[in-house]
Amino acid sequence: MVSESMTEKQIIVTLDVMLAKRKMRSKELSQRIGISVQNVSLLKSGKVKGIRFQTLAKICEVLDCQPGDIITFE
Amino acid sequence: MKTQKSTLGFWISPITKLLGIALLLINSFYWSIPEMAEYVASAYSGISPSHYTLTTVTRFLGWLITTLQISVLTYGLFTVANIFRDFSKGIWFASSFSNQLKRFGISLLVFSLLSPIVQVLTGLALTYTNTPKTERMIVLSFNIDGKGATIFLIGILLILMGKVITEATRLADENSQII
Repeated sequence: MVSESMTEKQIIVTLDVMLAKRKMRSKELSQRIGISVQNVSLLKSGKVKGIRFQTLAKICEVLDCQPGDIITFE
Repeated sequence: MKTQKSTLGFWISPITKLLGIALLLINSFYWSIPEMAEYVASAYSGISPSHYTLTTVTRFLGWLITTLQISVLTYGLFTVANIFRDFSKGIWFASSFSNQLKRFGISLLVFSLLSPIVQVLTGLALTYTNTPKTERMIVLSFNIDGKGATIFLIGILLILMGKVITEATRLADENSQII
């Protein structure tokens, strides 16, 4: 049986926080990782079903961070 | 998904609708002329013209029964027209496409399955006014001709294709939400 606290937890995308830390705009990130600005916006808002390892790796490389800095489980 | 090849769909959609309406009109035209009605009646019922007399009532009944069967095909053609209409708008790999494909398949299936029923009903309608009553006929024949079997198989094939495309569009939608 799944506890109540388990069901409430979810993946939170903190890409906007990381972008602010690196003082980088979504447009620049989208250009450097090769995806559209719309998709970066969707990713930032968490309105996506998933993220490919390939995209995650590119973001981590550009922002010089770890996957855990972009997505958290809270 | 968008495509620039919209001209094809733009023209084929109304042509397909016209074809569907033409089928109904041609059927009505055949039944309205006694000489042609005799030929159509024999073709549908499988009864020789010597066994019945065509009257206005029998022609009307024959027209009504055959129109019901042809209406199914007209419905199918209208579904095809909708597929091409969507295609002209650039919508071709969506759940609506697979649903329309399934509907067209079902209409073909129903059309082919209605054939023996239409034959029996047409036979009854044509011989209904026969006197004595013993000359009224019910004709039952289960023959698998190439045309009927092909329509039946194409119907099944389209339904199966529709199911496959439904699953494919679901997967495509899911993939489009993965960045």
